[in-house]
Amino acid sequence: MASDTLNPNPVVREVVRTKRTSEFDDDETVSDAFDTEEIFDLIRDIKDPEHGNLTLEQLNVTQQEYINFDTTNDSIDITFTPTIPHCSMVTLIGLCIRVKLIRSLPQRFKVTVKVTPGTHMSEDQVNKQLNDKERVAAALENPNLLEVVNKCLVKTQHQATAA
Amino acid sequence: QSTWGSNASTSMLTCLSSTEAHVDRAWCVAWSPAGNALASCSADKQIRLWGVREGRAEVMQVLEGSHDRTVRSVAWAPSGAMVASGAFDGVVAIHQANNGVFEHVASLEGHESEVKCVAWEHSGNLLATCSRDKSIWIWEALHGDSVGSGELVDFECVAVLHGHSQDVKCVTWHPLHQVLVSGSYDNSIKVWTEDDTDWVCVDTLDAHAATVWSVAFDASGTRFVSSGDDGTVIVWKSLPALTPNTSEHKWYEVCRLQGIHTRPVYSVHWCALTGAIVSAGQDDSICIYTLTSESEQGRVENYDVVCRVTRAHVTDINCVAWNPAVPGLLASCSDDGLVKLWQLTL
Repeated sequence: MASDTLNPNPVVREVVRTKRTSEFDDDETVSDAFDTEEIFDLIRDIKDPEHGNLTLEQLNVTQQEYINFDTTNDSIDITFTPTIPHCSMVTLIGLCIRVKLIRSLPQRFKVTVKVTPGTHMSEDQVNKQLNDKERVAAALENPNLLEVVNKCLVKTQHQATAA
Repeated sequence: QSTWGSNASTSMLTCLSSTEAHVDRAWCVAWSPAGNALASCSADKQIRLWGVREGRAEVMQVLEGSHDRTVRSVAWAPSGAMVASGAFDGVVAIHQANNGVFEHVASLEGHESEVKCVAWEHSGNLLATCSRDKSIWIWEALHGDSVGSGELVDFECVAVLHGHSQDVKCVTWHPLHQVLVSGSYDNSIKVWTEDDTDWVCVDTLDAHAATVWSVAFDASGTRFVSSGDDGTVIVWKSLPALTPNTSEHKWYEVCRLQGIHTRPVYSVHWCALTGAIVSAGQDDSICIYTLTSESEQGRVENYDVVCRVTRAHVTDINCVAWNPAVPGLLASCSDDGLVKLWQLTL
C-alpha cells in the first residue's frame, strides 16, 4: 500500500490543545451559541483517508481560520486544503467533513464545504460534487464508501479519553 | 407572512396542515390528477399515498419493498391508476391500482445509476426517466388485456436520449405536445422532441450558472420555468408559440428572478389554475410569483413576488407542487420529513 500513497511525506504540524475557556462554560443557564472553535473541534480529529494515523489538523488540511460562521443565517462555510494539488482523496476528505457536521449539528445549519481556492487541480468539480446534496446522499448509501468515511470519523482511544 | 415586491400585495400563503410523513428526508410530492390524493417519497425507501380532504393529509397506503434505496421521485399517471417512482437503486417502479389498492406491478431496469426524476407524458402513453448515468429513457406503456378491474400494462423502452454531459436531474413534459424538457448537473436545459422516429435535442439553453434542479411548464405550454443551484429562477418562452407540428423550437429567456432565494432552488412549479409560479429550496423559504407585465413583442416579461414565506420548513425544501383541481392549494416537502399543505389567496 505504501507505494500507492500519493504524498508519502506530508508536512505534519504539532497540534497544541488549549482548554476552551468561555465565560459561560460553567453557567448552565446560558445557552451559548456555536462558534467557529466548536465547529473546528468537530472536524479537527477527522483522520486523513490516506494517512490513517494523522488527523486533518495535523496535516494542516483544516484550520479554524478556514471556518466562516454567519450566525445571522446559520450558514457555515468551510474550506480545506489538500496536502498536494493532485490529491485523489480530496472528495473523500470533503465528504468526511460534511458527514461529521451533518451528524453533529442541528438540521437548520447550512453547510458549504469547499477546497481552499487555488489548492487543487479539479477544484471546481470537487466543490460542485461536495455541495450537491443529491450526490452526497447517494454516495452515503454506498456501503463501501460509508465504511471508509466512518473509519476516518472514528476517534482513537487516546482522543476519546482526552475529550 | 411577509410580502415582497414592487406593489404592496395582499396575497397570502397560509399553512393548512403539517404531517410527519416520513422518518427521513422527503424528496418529492406529487398530486393525483383528480387532486384528491398526494404521493410522497423519501430516503426512508417508502412511497406514501395520502388522501387529502379539507387541507389535511391522511395516509391511505404505504408502498414498501419496491426500492432498496432512497426513493427520489414519484409521479401519477394522467389516468390516476398508476404511480411511477424512481430511486437511487437505479430502478423505476410502477404501481398500479387494483380495486383502489396500489400494487407494485413492474420494475423498469436499464439506468446504470441513481434515477433522479420520473415524468408521465400528457396522454399517459409515455414515461420519461432520467439518471446520474447522463441519459434519459423514454418508456412506452403497452396496454394489454383487462384482468379483474385493472388492465395489465407492460413497458418498453422506445428511446435512450444522450446529450447531457453530466447527471440529468429533472425531466418534464409539455402539457399538450410530445415535447420533453430536461435539466442537468452540466448546467444546461435541453428540449427534446420526436423527429420521425428518432428523439432529438432541438434546443439547448445555457443560462444557469450551476446545476438545473427543476423545470415546469405553464398550462398552455407556451412557457416553462427553471430553477438552479445558482439560486436563480428563469422563465422561458417559445417564440413563435409552439404547435404540434413545429419542428423548429426556439426558447427565449423572458424573465430572470434572482436575488430572491439566497441558496439553491430545488423546485419550481407553475399553477395551471391560477398562473402563479412557486419556488422553494435550500433557504427554507417558499416564494410565489405572478406575471405583471410583458413587452409588446413578448420578449420580456415581468413577474412580481406576491408572497414569500420564510422558514416554511426548518430545513431544505426539496419539492413544491400545486394541486391540479383546487386553485392555490400547494404541497411542500422537506429534509425534515414533513409534508405541508398551504393555501394561496391572491
